[in-house]
Amino acid sequence: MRITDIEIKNFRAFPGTYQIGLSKSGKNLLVYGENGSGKSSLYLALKHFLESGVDSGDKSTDFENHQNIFVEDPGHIKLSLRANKESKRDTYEWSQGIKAETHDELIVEASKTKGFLDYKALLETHYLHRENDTVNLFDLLVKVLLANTVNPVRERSLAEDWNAIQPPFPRKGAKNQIAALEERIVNFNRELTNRLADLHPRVSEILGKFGYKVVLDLDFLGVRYNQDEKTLDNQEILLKVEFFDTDIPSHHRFLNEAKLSAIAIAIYLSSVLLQPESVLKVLALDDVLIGLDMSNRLPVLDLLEEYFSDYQIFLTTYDKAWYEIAKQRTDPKDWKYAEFYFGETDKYELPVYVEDKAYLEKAREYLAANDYKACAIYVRTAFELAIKRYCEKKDLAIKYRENPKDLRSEDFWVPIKMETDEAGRLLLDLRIVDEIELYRSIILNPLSHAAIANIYKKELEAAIAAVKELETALATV
Amino acid sequence: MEWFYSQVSNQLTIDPLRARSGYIQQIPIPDITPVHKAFIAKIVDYLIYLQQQPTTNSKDLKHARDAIMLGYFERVIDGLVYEAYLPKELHKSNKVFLQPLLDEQLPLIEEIQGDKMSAFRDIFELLYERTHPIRRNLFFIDSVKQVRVIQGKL
Repeated sequence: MRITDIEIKNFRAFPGTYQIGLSKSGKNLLVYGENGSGKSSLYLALKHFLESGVDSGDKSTDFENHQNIFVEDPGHIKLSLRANKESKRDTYEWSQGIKAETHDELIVEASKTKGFLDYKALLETHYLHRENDTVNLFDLLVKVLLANTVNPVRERSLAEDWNAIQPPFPRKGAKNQIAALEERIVNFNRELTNRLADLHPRVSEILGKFGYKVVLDLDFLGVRYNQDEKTLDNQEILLKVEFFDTDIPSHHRFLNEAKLSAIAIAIYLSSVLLQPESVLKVLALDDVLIGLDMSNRLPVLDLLEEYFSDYQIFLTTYDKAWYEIAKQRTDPKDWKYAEFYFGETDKYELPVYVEDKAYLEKAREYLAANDYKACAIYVRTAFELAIKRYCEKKDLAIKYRENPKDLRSEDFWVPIKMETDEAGRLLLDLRIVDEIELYRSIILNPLSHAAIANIYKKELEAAIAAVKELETALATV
Repeated sequence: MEWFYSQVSNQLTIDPLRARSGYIQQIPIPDITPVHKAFIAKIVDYLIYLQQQPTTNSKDLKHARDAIMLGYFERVIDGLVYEAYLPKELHKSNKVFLQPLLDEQLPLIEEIQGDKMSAFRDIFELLYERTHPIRRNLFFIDSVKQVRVIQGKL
């Protein structure tokens, strides 16, 4: 089951109606957005929609608390879902007037398994308490990363178990109340211990995907009620790291913010994977990769593909460079790309939503607008992306360059056009090779850009057709 | 039971609910098959044994898993009881408990040879595995509307 269409009307940053189509197959969505452009409102629209089917007791699922402040017309969130491309579309609405639709089993179950993590949660990693070479993860785990995980015995979230042991504490001498509190503390300690034990193997496995060959030990001894001071003592989950079977004594030097962010993401994703699977599975990560350097962001895409391939993924970022890289590393067959920009009218601010299209589609649009230079750049980008993806997919050997940035399109194109089958026959149709060779010299080669003004429209049209044909051929070889 | 009793009895202004035989007698007993009844009895026997073990009641966190195991078997009974009272509603949304448990051919307590705790831990880990239908159906049981009403979540 996948979300195929999202309609957001008068919700938080969105005045008016916005529609996001994810195709009949329910693609994943990668969003670039400037700060304040509305991407976090999209994240919250999905999160609160799923949560609105469960009566949580707080006000976060009352639509009126999210109504856009500039418009009075009541808003709504509508999600359309399909089991597959051929099945019929079911639409569910969450609004001030209609709530029962999201009480459907499908939505309630998706709410329990959903993974929603935003950058604010990871900011906690910058304020972790460090002492004597240890890092205390208690607040980060209990109040943020594991807060919504559900206790398999009593069907309560860890946050609820934690809130049940918070002040006001019983007065001294109130034996029954103190005993009841201590019983709740015992239950909390058991639940947290059990959850950490379940998480342990998966967290190390996922961290390995980041390139950190480390084993984490989350040392929790249990919180204790101090009757004299009326405090909860021992709020500690101490992080110990073993690196290639060697305990690292100075954690504070090894555990910089980037590594702590990676650990936090690994813990969160592992906690999502601990839950049983629902029919609709949604994972949304709102700018959570900003604490990682580029080399650690790419593995996240790989692990999403490996562990969350049956989840519908929503990734947002304000980092344009990362957005472009992620676009190139993901398959447009499974992903949709969109951009949010900040706009304003004379009365209010509003998000401007722009669907990002495939490079060749963009090239055609620029061609239609007679912007030949922009068109040529997009044709070339489409060509380079197609040959790079193919080399990676087929593990083709390419020329060694000391600096990977020095790799040229020639380095990828030559092994592709020379690739043969077992009988020694060229795999790629020579006619396609000739077409590409022709347009490489005048359009697809970056060095030709200075002379691009002399290109005729027909040549660009032919170059687009040639690259399109190459894409199709490479997909079937 | 607590939900049903709260519907038919006068509530005091404070807990607990008044326990009067007149109200208790109104609680309907579902007509279940002998197999269903026998299976509930089997898990009850597990529970009685487990409740008497020191590790399931220990506050020492090294035994936390055993305490969770005890609670989990109680939840398994909850699932079987919901299925006894609301078979149509549960089955309509594929929440089945008896059949997957029968499929596992769990032993009667007297059939367990050797270390019983070790055997119970193995049974628990089997039924607790995230893809096992019992774990899944217990996890999602409150997505059934009638269960949510009973649990006060709607």
